[in-house]
Amino acid sequence: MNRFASRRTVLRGAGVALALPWLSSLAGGSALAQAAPKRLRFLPIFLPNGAPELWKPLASGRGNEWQLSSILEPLKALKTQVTVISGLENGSVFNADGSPSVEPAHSRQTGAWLTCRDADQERKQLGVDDANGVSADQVLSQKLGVSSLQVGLSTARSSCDGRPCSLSRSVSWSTPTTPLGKVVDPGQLFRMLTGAAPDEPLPAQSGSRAARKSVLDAVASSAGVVRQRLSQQDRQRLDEYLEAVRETEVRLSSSQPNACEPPASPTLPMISDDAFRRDSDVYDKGRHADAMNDLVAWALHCDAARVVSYMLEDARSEYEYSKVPVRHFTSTGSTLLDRFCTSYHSAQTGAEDDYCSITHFNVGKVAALCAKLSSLPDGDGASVLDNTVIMLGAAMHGSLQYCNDLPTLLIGGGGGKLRTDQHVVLNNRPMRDLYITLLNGIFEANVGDFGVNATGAPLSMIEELLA
Amino acid sequence: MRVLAVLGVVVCTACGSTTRNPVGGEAGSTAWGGAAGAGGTVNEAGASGAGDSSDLVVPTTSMRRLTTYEYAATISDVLGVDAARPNLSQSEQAGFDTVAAVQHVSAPDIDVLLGSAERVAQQVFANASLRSRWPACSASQPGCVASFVESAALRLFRRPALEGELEAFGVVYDEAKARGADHDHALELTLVALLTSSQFVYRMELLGDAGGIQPLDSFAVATRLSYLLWGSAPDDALLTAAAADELQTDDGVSAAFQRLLADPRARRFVENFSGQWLGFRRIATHTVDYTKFDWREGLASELTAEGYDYFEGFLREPRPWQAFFSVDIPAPGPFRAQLYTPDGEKRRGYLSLPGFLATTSLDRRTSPTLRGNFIRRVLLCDPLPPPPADVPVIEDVPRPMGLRSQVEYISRDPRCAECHKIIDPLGLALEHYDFVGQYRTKYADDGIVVDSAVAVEPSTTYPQGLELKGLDDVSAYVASEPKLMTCLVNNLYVYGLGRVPDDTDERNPELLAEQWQSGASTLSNALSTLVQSKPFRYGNPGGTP
Repeated sequence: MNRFASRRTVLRGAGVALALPWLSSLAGGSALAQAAPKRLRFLPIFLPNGAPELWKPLASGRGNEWQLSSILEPLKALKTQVTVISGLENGSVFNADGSPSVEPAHSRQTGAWLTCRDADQERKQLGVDDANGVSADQVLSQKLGVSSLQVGLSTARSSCDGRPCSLSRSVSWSTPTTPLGKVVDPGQLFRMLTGAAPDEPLPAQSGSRAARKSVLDAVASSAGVVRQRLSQQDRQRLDEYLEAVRETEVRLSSSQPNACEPPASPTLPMISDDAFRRDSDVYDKGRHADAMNDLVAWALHCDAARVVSYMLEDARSEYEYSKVPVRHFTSTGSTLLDRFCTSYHSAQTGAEDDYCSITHFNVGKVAALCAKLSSLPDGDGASVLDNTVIMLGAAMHGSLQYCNDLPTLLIGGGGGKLRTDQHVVLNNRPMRDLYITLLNGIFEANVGDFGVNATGAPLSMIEELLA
Repeated sequence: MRVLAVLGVVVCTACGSTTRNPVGGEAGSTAWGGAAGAGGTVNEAGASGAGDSSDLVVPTTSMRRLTTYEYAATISDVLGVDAARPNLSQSEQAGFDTVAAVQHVSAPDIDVLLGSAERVAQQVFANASLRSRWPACSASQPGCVASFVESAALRLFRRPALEGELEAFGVVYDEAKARGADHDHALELTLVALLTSSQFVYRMELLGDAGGIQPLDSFAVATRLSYLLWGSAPDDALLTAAAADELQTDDGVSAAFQRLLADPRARRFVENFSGQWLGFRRIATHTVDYTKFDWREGLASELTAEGYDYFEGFLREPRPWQAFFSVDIPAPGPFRAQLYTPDGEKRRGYLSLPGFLATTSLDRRTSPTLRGNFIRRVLLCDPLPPPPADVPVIEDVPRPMGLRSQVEYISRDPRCAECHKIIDPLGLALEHYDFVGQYRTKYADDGIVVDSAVAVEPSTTYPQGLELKGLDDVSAYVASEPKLMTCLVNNLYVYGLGRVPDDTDERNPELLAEQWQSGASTLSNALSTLVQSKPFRYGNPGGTP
């Protein structure tokens, strides 16, 4: 049961960080106390369903030696801040011979994407129905005592491949048994970031900060009365609930409003994660992404979060991008066709132009977020993007749903520690090598170990990525 | 006794009467408090009725978070507010969102629950008729707030509150008043707190101090029954039966079960259970390549309703479960009628439903492998071994080649054949139905004539071999397969108990299936066998602290 005690301790730390300005959060003695004054951010962005072969730039090398591929073309203006990494694999998490074949592919590979652990093994070892490793973003958040956010754009539930949906619908795990849910509604994220809307109701009214605090107090204290009448495992689940309640309370109690001007309130209708299967007159994935990007950029700029995991869609997404025009892609460019995209998952398994077009669209939304971050000042003449590592990547290769040659690229300067403007081609390097490189090489988080490797290959830094 | 009073007050407020709940006086003499309290006064002989088979294991009790569907249905039934399904993180296991172990709550979910509770409470207090469901009294009357909280908690927690459990909600009222709220706004906020509480969001089953395997109290049994059949909280009649401790005997459980089953709300069982197990819920979200077929929303909702209606027929009529694969499908609705069907074609059995045929296809063509796999894995609970680690990529398929030849080509590789020989024949025999469930004699793209005749050599899976000429033969085969019966019970068990059997209770579904088949092999009898069983009616606190 120590696992759960330590989980609470960890979350308490994260909660404090969420509530207090950055420097105060160091009181807990985190490693960041001695770190450089730069505020480095980490933003893993999950691309579901792999990426087409045309994702990969033709040439490797640095500067003028390499060019972006036609699918990565939206990143053109940011090329000097981009590192494309080919040859990363996660099959070694699952298979002792390093084979890239893992079934069911979407759920298990997505589960391992940020954790480098096989959830099937974790569940077996812990004897529970839902488990995974702690994800790299959460390791960072906990090690540095900085707050994290989980967001996504999924509006249509898709198949979980017969595994717990935590593997397909979340990528962040704060403990081996705690997947973190994500916010898909920009309106909700806005409320969470700002504590409450600027038109906060009067203290006496429902919805006001004082009223909500009072409600959450009651929720916590009345639960204490029933706790001893529950089975042992139910007490743990109740604790998970109360921990989430407590985090929400801490956020509401934050007495120091952010120094930034509050962000603009999103104008979209409420969005839920099973409301829209396709673009339509009432819902448009592009506008959803724009609204989410605005808030994520605000959160990073105004230090409401240092670590954000962002799922462009859930694993095995079947969303129909019915307002995204199909383009025919070649290795050098693309031409517009006279129709719109079909379902993401069926495009992955059989409609190459649709697959390329959807991926191109998603890269475009990431590029727009990066452009925004590069326009936001972060002191000393640097932009927020200069002090950020964005990792855009997929948990599976592409149409062949293997766990090797995982589409991955980094955007941002990492505070000057990342070597950028290059296409690095690796020879089957495990994903965990990338994470240890980022965690220790860029963020100086002093992490001893990360993930597993069934082939026995030792953990090692990818030196090519460091400036 | 106090509960009955609360119940009486509210029942009568709702129906506009001033008399007390008629069962109140009588039932007050039975000690419901014993059952809800120490887990003591239970009719052991009765409770062990259908659960008599000593091999049935009572798994560790596990509270379930309301699914988003159950949340909205509960709010609608108890408060009369049509709440949107909340945007909670939602998982599923073994095909069902009711499985307890995979439902998590993290901070964003609290935000969602709080916001939803605020909207719901606001609607209750803004509407005189909804407001009148609850005790009306003024702030100056002693006990006014307590009576409101008590009656709301009884319905929202689905059981009487424990000593001291409700005090915190009175504090919410007092604090709101102190901030300047009027009486109704302060009550509204206590309702927000009740709706955000863990006791509402989870179906908690309180266990006695004595420890060990013990009968669940009548309120817990009532709650299991109502969420199983109605996807919602017990109504007042069921709470009254629970307060009278009537759900400790076979007869009591049977009476409640029959009443719930006969109620139109049992349609929610149809939607939640068959919707998830048999895939009817996926019809609405199934994608069809719009360049190949105009798959309109109207068609999808018609096919969904057709599936539910067909399944509901088996809940309402005394039909054996095997007939699920042979009963005539009623005449199609206007959208479905537009699917091409030859003159005089009759559709019989689940496998002929276009909803099944479409959702087990790809978005632009059929996949005999997907259909065959669905039949074996979902309908017969006969999972295949996982594909070999070195799945060969078959790139050199000679073209042009018809779909059937392609499917059979894959089986030339012995590593692939191991599984494909088990699943593909069932799908190949359904090839007269295209990717949206239309009848066809030729493939549209290459004009090849459909051949749905399949012959399979005897094997472990098919000891007699298989001779299939088409859909009717596949239906007859599935209906004759003994695994069909255990599979239904297995799915009811997962759905109804909210757990996937593990080492401790893996034999339960099989044992229950045996019990079921000793009587009428109808769907309602399978449900009845489940709700009478020890795993359904007993609790187990599990490991010691």
